[in-house]
Amino acid sequence: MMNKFFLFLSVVLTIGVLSCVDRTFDEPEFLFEDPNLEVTQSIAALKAGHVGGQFEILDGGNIISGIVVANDKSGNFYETFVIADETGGIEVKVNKRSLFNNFPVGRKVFIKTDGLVLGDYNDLIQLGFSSLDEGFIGIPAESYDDYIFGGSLNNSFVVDTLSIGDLTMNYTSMVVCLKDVQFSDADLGYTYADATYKVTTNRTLVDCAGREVLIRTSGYASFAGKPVPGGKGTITAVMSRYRNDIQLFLRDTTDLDFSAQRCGTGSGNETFVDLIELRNNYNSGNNIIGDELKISGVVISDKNYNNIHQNNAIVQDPTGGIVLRFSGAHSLEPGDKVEAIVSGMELSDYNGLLQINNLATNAVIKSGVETIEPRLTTIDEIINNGEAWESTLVKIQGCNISGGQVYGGNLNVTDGSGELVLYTRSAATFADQAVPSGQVDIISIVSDYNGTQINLRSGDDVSGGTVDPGGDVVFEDDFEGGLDKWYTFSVLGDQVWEHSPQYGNPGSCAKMTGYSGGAFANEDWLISPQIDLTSATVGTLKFETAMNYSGFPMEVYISEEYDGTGDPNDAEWVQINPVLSSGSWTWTGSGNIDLSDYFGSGIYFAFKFTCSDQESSTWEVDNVEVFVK
Amino acid sequence: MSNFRSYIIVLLTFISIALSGQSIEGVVLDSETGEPIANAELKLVNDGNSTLTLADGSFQLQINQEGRYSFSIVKEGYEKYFSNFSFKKETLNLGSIKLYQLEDLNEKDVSYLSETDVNQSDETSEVLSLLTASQDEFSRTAAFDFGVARFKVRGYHPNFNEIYMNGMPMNDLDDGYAAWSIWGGLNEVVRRRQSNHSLEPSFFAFGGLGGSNHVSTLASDQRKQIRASFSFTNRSYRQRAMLTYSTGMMKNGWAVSVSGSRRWSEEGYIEATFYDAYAGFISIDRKLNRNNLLNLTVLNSPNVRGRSSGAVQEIYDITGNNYHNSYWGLQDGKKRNSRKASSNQPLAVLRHLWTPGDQTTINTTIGYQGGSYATTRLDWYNAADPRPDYYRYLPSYKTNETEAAELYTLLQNNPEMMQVNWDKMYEVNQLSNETIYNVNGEAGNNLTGKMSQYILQEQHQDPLKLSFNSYIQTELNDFTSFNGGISYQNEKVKQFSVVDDLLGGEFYVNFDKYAERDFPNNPDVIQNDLNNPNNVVYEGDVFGYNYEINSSKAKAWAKTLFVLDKLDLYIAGDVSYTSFFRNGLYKNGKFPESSYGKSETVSFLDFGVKAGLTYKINGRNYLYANGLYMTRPPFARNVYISPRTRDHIVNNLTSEEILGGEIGYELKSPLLALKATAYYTEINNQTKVRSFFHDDEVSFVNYILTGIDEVHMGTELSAKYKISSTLDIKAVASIGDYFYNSRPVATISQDNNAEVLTDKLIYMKNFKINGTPQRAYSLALSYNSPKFWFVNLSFNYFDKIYLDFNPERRTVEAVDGIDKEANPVLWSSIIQQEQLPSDYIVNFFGGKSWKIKDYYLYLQLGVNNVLNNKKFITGGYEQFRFDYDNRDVNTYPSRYYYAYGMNYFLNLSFRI
Repeated sequence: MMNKFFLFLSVVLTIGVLSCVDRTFDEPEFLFEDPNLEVTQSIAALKAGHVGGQFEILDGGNIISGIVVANDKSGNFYETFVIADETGGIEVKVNKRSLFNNFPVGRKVFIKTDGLVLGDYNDLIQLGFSSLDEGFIGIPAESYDDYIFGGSLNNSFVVDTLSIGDLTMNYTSMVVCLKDVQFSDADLGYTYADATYKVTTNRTLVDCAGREVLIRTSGYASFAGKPVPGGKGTITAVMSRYRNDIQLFLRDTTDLDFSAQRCGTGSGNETFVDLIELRNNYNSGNNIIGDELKISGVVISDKNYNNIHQNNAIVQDPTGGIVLRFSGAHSLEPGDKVEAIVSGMELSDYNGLLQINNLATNAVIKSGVETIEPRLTTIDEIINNGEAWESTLVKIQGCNISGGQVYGGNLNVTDGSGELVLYTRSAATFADQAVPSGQVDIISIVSDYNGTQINLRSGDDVSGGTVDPGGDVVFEDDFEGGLDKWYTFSVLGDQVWEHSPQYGNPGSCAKMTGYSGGAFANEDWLISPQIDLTSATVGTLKFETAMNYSGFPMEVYISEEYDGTGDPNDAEWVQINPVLSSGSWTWTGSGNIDLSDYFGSGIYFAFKFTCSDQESSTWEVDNVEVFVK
Repeated sequence: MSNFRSYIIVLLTFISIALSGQSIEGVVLDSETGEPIANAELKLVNDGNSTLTLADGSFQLQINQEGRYSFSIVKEGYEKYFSNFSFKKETLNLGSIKLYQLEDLNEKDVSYLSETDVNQSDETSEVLSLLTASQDEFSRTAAFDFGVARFKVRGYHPNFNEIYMNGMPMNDLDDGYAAWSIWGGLNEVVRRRQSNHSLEPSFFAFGGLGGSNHVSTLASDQRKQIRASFSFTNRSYRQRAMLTYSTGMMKNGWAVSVSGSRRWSEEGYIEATFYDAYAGFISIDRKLNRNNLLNLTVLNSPNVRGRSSGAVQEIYDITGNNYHNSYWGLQDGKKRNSRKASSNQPLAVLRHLWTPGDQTTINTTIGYQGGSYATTRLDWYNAADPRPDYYRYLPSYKTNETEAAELYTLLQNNPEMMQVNWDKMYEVNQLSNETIYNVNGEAGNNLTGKMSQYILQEQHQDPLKLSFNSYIQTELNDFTSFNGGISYQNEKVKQFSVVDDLLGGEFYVNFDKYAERDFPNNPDVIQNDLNNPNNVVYEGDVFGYNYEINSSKAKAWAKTLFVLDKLDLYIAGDVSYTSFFRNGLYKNGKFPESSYGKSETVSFLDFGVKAGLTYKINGRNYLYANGLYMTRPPFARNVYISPRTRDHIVNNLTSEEILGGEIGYELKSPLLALKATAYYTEINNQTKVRSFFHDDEVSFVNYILTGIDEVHMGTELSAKYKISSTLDIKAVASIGDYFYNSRPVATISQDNNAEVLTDKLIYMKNFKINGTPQRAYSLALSYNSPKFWFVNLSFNYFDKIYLDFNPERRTVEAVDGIDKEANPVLWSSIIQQEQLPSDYIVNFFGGKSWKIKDYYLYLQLGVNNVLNNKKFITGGYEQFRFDYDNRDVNTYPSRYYYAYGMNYFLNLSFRI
């Protein structure tokens, strides 16, 4: 019995101690290789089979493949991942959260499309599933792996680097990289979306040219509550669409590098860079100007004459010049001294002409007014220094213009040293103006259009030579015969217009001063006889003036109402702006004054002299001519 | 002088015996078999006189003086019997006294106290304490037959029941539970128990509302034996092997008892509930001299087991299995359980018993318990919920009926979809490619690799308990006994979690996954520990939370019992001082000011008084009444709003106030035993903190209810009638009404931020208390063959079972805008408490013993739920979320637990 007991005992002990509960588990390993599936359709071909606003239940036995380019990792996509092949991209909807765990960016996936449904959400084509009641839905979580097969990892895919203007619907559901963009001023200080109430929010990305694109962020995105960055730079995002609006969806904020300065604003630590240095550092293509730089220069272009694009201004500093290309029409006047922060701006070459691109119009600050004296030089020197002198003012003396009757288009300028193209836009106000013949002096801006050329600011930049205004001389006066042809009217003061036999150009002229042993206040008019323009097709007025001493400028008027006698102040006069002498008794041609505004009527023109009892200048008028045809 | 006095006493004794010749008499029987018990020792406590029973179980003892006597009957293998009588100079027949076999209790005990119930109660952590089972018929039935239905005596929470081991208080200060599992598998050696029910006077402690129990493991109390047993069952485990050896008190003054066991199974009643437990025990007595005994008991019951989940009815319906366990899934072709519980909490108790005189015993104990208790669960960082029973994965989440039906079919045809998908988690972890920047706070120290999106997290609650306890039991005079004691407990619970398994990934990171989204511009908030930011963790590393709750309690109590002719009267009182503080080991990024280091200490001063009387109409009829008033400090668990993240304390924290009373009648006669008790109890000012994950807030939300008042009232009835010498019939009923009697205030806060979301009034007055049938009835027949076998069949019926309810649905907000008149169905669907169906269970218990020469062989078989009723919902709870959008209570349906179908426990043991 004792033996039996110990037998039982040993059985109990043996079973008890030796029996083990198996709790070791071998861990599965995954190779992540592409499945053995043959791709039969491109994503573009798949999408091409979609009719907007409809649903297509797929049954063609096709297999598509793409690389995951975006997923729901940050929560900006919900129950969605995006795949793309070289033909296009498409959103894949699955009713499952945290898809990124199975479909990380770079994973190749294969999708058997049979049974899936192609649909669109406001023109954004998606691959999903259909439900009887709810229509288009995501592929059910419980069965998505019957359709979608994961493959290899870490595949790379092409991301085009673009400007906002380059975006087209062809990029829908693909990842694009936009350069030189920033959040709009209105969005600064706000978060990507409303993380508190989980509201999806649109923000606007702009480039320095003011072009805009929407960036849309889900309120559930992990970065929804982060404020948008203030800088400027590069963003990589999925391009999506809502009908015809392009919308970008950020995958995560790591896809965004806005470390550059915002357009036109700086850090406050910018230092001036000489324009010549800026030019010298330019490499072909589009360059981004480095950090913390600003420029200073004086505007030498004059867009009023429209010989330059309304968005362009040319500035010059003591070392050189450059074209500023604004994102819109600017309001800079010649002589304005300006400063602009150029860090992060694009330096680009427009047919050989270097420009700072996409400047915001408010990015330039006026700091004063200054005059740039043109560089007195020769054509040969201009050609030799074409790049260094580009966008600076030069003056060429004693040259001839040939190749056309009017300024518009290309003309040739020659001096003793060489030949250069003088180009004038057809839109320039003086494009139809006659080119003077004979030797002239030219002030111009050195430019480049696939070769060095020069551009005028206005027709007045050409002086000397003779210009045939066209038509017959219907009125002329060299004042050799006194003021007989003129009607004078003294509104104020004892001094009047008088004949000066010795100070004319040459010979006699008409002269007026309020000075008579002291200054006396005067208003005196020198009024022409009526000029008949009732049937005119060409009408030009020209005269010369000389002046000295300080005082009010002389004014020139035209009237269609004046009746030839009496106080001219009783009639309506239109002031015109001819070139007048700037002093020192220098005889100055008025230029051809176009009278076309008055065709169909008779006109009077008048020189109105005014002065005060404090000071009076002296004005002389000579060689008045009116041409009419 | 003393010699002379002794002489006089002895002389007087002889004279009185000679003069009276009067005695008490009776018969001692085996409670199960009805067999007479010979050689049982009956001993009068008052004077130490004793006698042994004869072969027919009868005894007769002469008594020399009128008075109140207490006596005990002791017989090896039986529970010690205590009682008392009044003697009035005439022969008193005490009738038949039944002793309970220790084997019987032991094995029945095991059959239920196998960890079954605990397993099923994972979600609510409510463990039925069966330690209260004793000779009282009501208690025995409550424990053995009602236990299946999660019955709780008088509806009291188990933490109202105090448990002591060798004098060491076993109830945690943290949550009030006694760590029963520490002596799991040591059934042979923890069977010496003293129990007091509800408001009965206790001899070793002041006692709780639900009574008190004392387990003694003195080696000298253990039956001298070598015993081996082997058991088969289909409950928590499948097999058990157990070996016990006890020397009894040896002549050299030493007694040694050792016991060890192994319980194991690959799978219990529920799928994937593996079980792997060892147990070891040694108890050594050293009798120092006649008056002093020293005992050292060291035990441990390390175990690892797989847990099971309660589920929503939808899942049970889909799987066709009311015991569906969604915690597991197949890996490597084997069932792997994501919820693993491991316990390894060695206990050492040094006990000194001092008997300075015959009337006095002083019991002093120093206790230590340490080790760890840990449970695993899946954790995930930024990934889909891996739990197959997540509500969004179920057909009911689909808004479209056709799709729901399709999913239903799909799940039915693919049962693996209702289980954890380990492979998918490994796949995701191996696909992962994450960069952690500035690892461990070192700038530029970046780590890129496969950061696990899914891990197994192991949450620890590691105790370190030290206690001192001393109490005295003394007889002041013939009718007055005094008990009193002091105790001090210090308890530190280390709460932290570690990475248990990276599931194929390379590392994990110590971030608060929920904070990132709420505070995108504050990089600190995501840090669970600012002292070690961006901490990359590997298997075995601590992460998430890390803190200690320190609790201490000092207590003094006293009790005096007067035993008069017709009246027993007792009064008892206690006073205690309890304090708590939190020591944070992490500086939480969301609460840097209130998470790291020691918090302020909160303390409570409490007291209680108890009194009772028993009117003894005669030797068979007793009337009794007991009353209690006490305050009880909150448990540490309910002190802190969100202890994982900070040390903020619940507002308006107060002690609970308990007022209770009972009256009863008892009849003890040879053929009929009857007992009827009526009770009324109020438990007021309770505080409860519950935390759960809130989908909408994306955070753990802490729900703190303050001002909970409960009323427990009812009647307990038991009757046992002896039909014949071999056949007994027993009827037991517990007819209770337990309900809430106040509208508590819910303060809701988030782990993620300090702001209090809302204060809501909870309209739950008169709601029923859940977690127990409020009505339970039992009818049992026992046949005890003279040929050493017995069978016992019981029919048990349960009624008034209520579901745990979500306070959120009992608020103004929940029904705001619903017109009660126009939408009565919707209205009541939201606010009404669900009553579960009544149901029944039939249990069988039988056994036989053989004596072969000097060896004994025992066979016991217990079969619960003989009729295999698998539709009995024993409880459940509403989820702590409410669908405010649709007001649909089915959006987050309730979870239910079912009683096991037919299950058995077969034990074969062999004793030498």
